[in-house]
Amino acid sequence: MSEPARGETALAAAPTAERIKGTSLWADAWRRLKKNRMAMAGLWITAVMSLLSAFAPAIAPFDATYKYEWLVTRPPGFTHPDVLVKNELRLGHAAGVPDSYANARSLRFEARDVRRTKYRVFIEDGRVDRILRPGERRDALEATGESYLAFRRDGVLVPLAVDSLRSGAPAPAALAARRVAIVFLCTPGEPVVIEATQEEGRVVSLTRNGRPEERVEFDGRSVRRVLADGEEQARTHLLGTDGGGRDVLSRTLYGGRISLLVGLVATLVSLIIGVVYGAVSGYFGGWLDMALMAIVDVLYGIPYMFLVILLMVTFGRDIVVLFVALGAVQWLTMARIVRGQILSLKQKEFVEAARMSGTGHLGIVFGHLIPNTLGVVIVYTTLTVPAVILQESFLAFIGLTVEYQGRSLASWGALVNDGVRALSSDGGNSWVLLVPSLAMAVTLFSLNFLGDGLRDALDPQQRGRT
Amino acid sequence: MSESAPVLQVEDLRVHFKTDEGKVHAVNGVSFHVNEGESLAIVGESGCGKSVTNMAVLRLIPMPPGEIPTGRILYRGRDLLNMRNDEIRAVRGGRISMIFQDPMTSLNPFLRISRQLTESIELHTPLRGEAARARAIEVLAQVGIPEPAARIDSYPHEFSGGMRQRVMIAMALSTDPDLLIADEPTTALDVTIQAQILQLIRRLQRERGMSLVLITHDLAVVAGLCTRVVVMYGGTVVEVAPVDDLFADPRHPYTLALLRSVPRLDAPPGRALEPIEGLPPKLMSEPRNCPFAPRCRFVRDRCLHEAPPLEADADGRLRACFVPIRAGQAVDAAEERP
Amino acid sequence: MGQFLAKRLLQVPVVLWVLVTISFFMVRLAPGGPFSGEKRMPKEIEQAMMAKYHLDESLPRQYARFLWDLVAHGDLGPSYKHKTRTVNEIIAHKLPYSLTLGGLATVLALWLGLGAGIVAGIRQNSRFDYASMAIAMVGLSVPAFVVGPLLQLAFSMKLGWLPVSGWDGLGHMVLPSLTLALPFAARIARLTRAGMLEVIHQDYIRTAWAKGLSERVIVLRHALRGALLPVVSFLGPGIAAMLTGSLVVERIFGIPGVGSEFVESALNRDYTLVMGTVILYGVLLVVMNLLVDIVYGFLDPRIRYGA
Ligand SMILES: Nc1ncnc2c1ncn2[C@@H]1O[C@H](COP(=O)(O)OP(=O)(O)OP(=O)(O)O)[C@@H](O)[C@H]1O
Ligand SMILES: [Mg+2]
Repeated sequence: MSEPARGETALAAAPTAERIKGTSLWADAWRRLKKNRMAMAGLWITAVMSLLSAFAPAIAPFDATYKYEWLVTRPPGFTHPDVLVKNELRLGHAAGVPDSYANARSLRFEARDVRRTKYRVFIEDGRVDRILRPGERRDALEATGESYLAFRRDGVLVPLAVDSLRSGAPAPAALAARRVAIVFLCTPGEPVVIEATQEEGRVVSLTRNGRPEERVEFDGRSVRRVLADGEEQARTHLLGTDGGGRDVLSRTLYGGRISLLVGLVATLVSLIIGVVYGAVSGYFGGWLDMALMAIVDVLYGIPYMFLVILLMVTFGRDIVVLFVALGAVQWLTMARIVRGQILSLKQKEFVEAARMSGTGHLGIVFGHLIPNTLGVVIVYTTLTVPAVILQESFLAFIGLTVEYQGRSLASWGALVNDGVRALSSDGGNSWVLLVPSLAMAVTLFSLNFLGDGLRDALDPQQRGRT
Repeated sequence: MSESAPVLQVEDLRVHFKTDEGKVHAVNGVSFHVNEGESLAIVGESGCGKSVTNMAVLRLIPMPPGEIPTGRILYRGRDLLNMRNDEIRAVRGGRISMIFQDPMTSLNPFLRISRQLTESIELHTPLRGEAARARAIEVLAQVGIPEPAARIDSYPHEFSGGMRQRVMIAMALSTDPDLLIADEPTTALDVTIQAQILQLIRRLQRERGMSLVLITHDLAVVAGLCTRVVVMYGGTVVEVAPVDDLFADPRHPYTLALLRSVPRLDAPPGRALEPIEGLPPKLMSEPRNCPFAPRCRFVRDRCLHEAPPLEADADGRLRACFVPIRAGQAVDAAEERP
Repeated sequence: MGQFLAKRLLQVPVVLWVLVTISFFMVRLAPGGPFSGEKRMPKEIEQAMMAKYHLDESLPRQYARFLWDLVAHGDLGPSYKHKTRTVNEIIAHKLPYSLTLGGLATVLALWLGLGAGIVAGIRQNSRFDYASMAIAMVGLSVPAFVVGPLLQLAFSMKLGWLPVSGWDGLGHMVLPSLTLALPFAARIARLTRAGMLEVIHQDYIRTAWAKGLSERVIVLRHALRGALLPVVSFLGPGIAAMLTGSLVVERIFGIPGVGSEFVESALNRDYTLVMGTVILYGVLLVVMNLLVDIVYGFLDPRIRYGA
C-alpha cells in the first residue's frame, strides 16, 4: 500500500522492504483498530447508517414527502390505514378507494359519522379569550376528537392536535401569535361499520352497520382500519408523524441520504484540492511553497461559513453550489497536513530511487508521495465528513436548505429545524425533533470515534491528540 | 565489602509492566548495594532493565502500567517502597538525585533555568529567594557554565546539549544529595563533550564524597570512573565485581562476551571484536532458566531448566552462573572458535 | 517575538482585503440586482435608486468607492432594506449583545473545557475521565441548534427556572451562553486532555518528579503550559466557529444581536448588510487571531525568542 508504483521499472532500485513494511503497517493498524471498541462500534454504526441512507427508497415505509394531513403529529408507533377513503360512497359510482385496495373485491372499515361543528375561538395575547359555538358561548371545549383543523385568520391551515381549550388558558403554540383564529372541530360521532363490494372499480353493494344503503357519508379522517377481502392492512408510523403529517422515520432516512451525500461529496472536493495543493507545495518547496502556504495562512483568517452563506444567498442553494462551497472551506487543513507529510517523505530513499530512474515530477508526486500520505489523509477525511455534515445542517437550520433543481431537500439539519420550530411548550411532540437529532448525533458520534480510532491506529505516536 | 552500612541496598526487586502484548518482566529479583562514597557502575545491553531498576529506587515507575510485586529498596535502612508520599518526596531530589540520558528533553522548555534550579533548592534546603538564586548561580559555576549570573535566566533552548547536561547536573547537585544516580548521562552527547561531562561528574563526586550510581553501556567509562560494577542481563544481575577484577577475570559468560564485543586498549593486538550472537530475551514470562542460556557458548542442560542464583565464589565475588569461567579459560574459549 | 508578530501584523490587511474583495465581487456578480426581489417598480424610480446607491457606475468604480469609504471612513454603506439606516448604525446597535454573548460563552468554554480536560488528563482512565470525555463527544456531535431547544424545553418550559428567550438580565444569558459554549468546551476539554497526556509523558516531567515536587506543582507549573499550546492554537479557528455558532444561538433564543441580523439580512438579500457583517466578523476574527498569537508567544519561550 505504501509503495504502490505498479508496473514502473523505476522501482527496481527501491527497496522491497518498503513494500513489506508498508503492508505490515496496515495490518498493524487494522489490528490496533480492532482492539478499540468505540472505534469499531463507530465503524459498524457508520456502515449501517450509510447503508440505511443509501437504500432509503427501498427501506422507508412511507413516501417521505407525502403529507397525511389528517394524521399530523402522531406519536411513534401510531398505526393507521394508510388511506383516505373518499368521504362518500355511492352505489354504482366509482369506488374511490386508494390504489392499494384497487384490486380488492370487498372493503370493510370503521369510521365515524360526519357531524362537524364549527367553533370560533378568539385568541388575545396568546391566551384563549372566548370560545363561541354558533348561538352559545362556552368557557371550555373538551373533545376526544382525533384531529382539529384550524384556519388562521391569514388563511393558513394549521393542523393541530389539542384535546381541550379553555378560556384564559394559553393558546396552542401554532396559533398563539395570531389574534383571532377559527377552529373547525371534528367532534366524535358514532362509530359505524361500512362494508362495500366493488366490481371493476364501481361500488356494487354497500352496507352501513349491516343495513344496505344507497349512499354512505362518513368522516374520512377518522377511518380506523380498512379490511380488504378479510385481510387487515394497516401500516405503522414507527417513529410517528410530524406536524405536516409526514412519516418521521421515512423523512429521517431520506434526510440521512442528503446529509451523508453532502458530507461525502464536499469532503471529496476538499480532499482533491487539499491533497494536490499540499503535495505540490511540499514537493517543490522553495519560493513556491512559501507563496502557497502564505495564501493558506491568509485564507485561514477568513470567517468561512459567512462566505458560504453569502455564496448561497447570491448564487442559490443548489446542491452543487453547496458541494463546492463547503469543499472549498475545508481544504486548507488538508493541504497543510499533506504538505507536512510530503516534506518529510521526499527525503526518503525511495523517492531518490524513483528520481534516478527517470520518473518525472508528476510521477513521483502522484505515484510515490501521495500514496504514502494515505494514512493521515484517511484519518483527516474521516474527521472532515462529520464536520461538513454539521455545517450543512447548520445552514439548513438557519433556513438555507439545499435545493436540487429548485426542489428543497430535507437534510437532517432541515428536519431538526422543523422539529425545533414545531416543538410545543410541553414537549409533547418532541419525537419530531429527537428522531432526526438522534440520527444525526449518532452518525456524527460514530464518525468522530472512528476518526479518533483510525488516528490512534495509524499513527500511534499521535495517540490521543485531537 | 565495605564495613560501613551501605547507602542504598536493593533486595530482590521485581518490576513488571502490563502491556497490550502481555506482562513484561522488566526486572526479576535484582539485588545490589551502594556503599558510602563509592561509585558503582551498572552495565548491560539495552533493555536489560538498568533504567527501570533505578527508576524504581525513586518510585518513578509509572503505575499503571508498572507494578513492583516484591522487593525492598533500603536507603540508610529505610524502605523507600513503603514510605509515605511526603517522605519519598523529601528523598527525591533531596537525598537522592537523578540525571537522565537526554538533556535535550529533560529540562522544561517553558521555564527559565533559574526557576528550574531554585524550585529544587527551595524545596530541599532552607535557602529561599535571593539566597536560593545565589546558590543556583554557585552550582552553575561549579559545573562549568561560563557567566552563570548572566545566563541563569535563559531558557533551555538557548543552551547546547552539553551545557544543558551541565545544568541537569547542577540541578541534581544543588541540594547536596548523598547519592547521585546518573542514567547514561553522556549517551546523547558528542564524544568530546562526553569526556568533559564524565570528568565533571567524577570530580564533583570526589569533592563531595557523594555516592554515585552510573548506568552505562560504555565499558571504557566504567574503567575510568567506577570502583565496582554490576552487570545486568535480561532483568537480572549476573555478576558483581570490583572493576579491575571484572576486566581481568570475568566469571559470567555474558560479562566475557560483553568485554569481547567492545574495543579495548589492553586487548591482545589483532584480536577481532566479537558481537554477541542472538537477541536479548523478550521478558514476556517469568524466567525459569538462565536468561543468557540461549546465547551462551558454555550452556549446560541445567542452565535451561533452572535459574542460577547470584552466589559468591570462594574469593567472595558474586556471579549467577552454574558454570562460571575460571581464570585462563576465557582465552581458550576464544581460540576454540572456528 | 517581534519578528513573528510583525509577520502576523502584515497579514492582517491582506486577509481583510481578500475578504472584502471576495465578498464585494460575489455580491455584485450575483444574478439579479439588489432590488430584483421587490415589487415591480417604475423604471424611473429604479434608476433613481440605482443612482442613489451608485449602482449605475462601472464595477471597478463601485469597488474603488466601496474600498475608499471603508478604509477612509470605516463606512459600510447604506442598507438596501432598512432604507433609513446605514449598515454601520445597525451594527453599532446590535454588536453589544453579540459581544456579551460571545464573551460569556468564551469564558464558560475555557472554564469548563480546561477544568475537565486537566483533571481527565491527569487521572487518565478514571471514571471522571470516561464520563467527561463521553460528554465532550456528545458536545462535539450534537449541534447547538439541538442542544439549545432541548435546554429551553428542560429548564424554561418544564422546570420554569430560566426565561425561554430574550436578552434582559443575567437570567437570560445563562442558556444561550451555555449552548454556545458547549461544543467549544468539548473541543477544549479534549485538546487539554490530549495535551496533558502528551506532556506528562515527557522527560522533563519525569525530571520534575525526580526533584520531589508535589503533583500539584508539577501539573500547574510544569505540565500545564505545554498542555495548553494545542488549546491556544485551536482558539483561532475556535473563535471563528463561535462566531458562526452565534448565528444559530441568537436565533434560537431571540437575542437581537448581529448574528440574527445577519441571518435575517441574508435571507432578505440585503447585500450591503450581509457584506458589512461579513467584514465585521472578519475584523473580529483577525484581531482575535492576533491576540491568540501573542498569547502563544507568551506561553512558549521558543517562539517568543524566535528560536
Ligand atoms: N512503561 C513501560 N511499559 C512497558 N515496558 C516497559 C516500560 N518501561 C520499560 N519497559 C521495559 O522494561 C525493559 C527494561 O527497560 P529499561 O529502560 O530498564 O532498559 P535499559 O537497560 O535502561 O536499556 P537502555 O540501555 O536502552 O536504556 C525493556 O524491555 C522495556 O521494554
Ligand atoms: Mg535506560
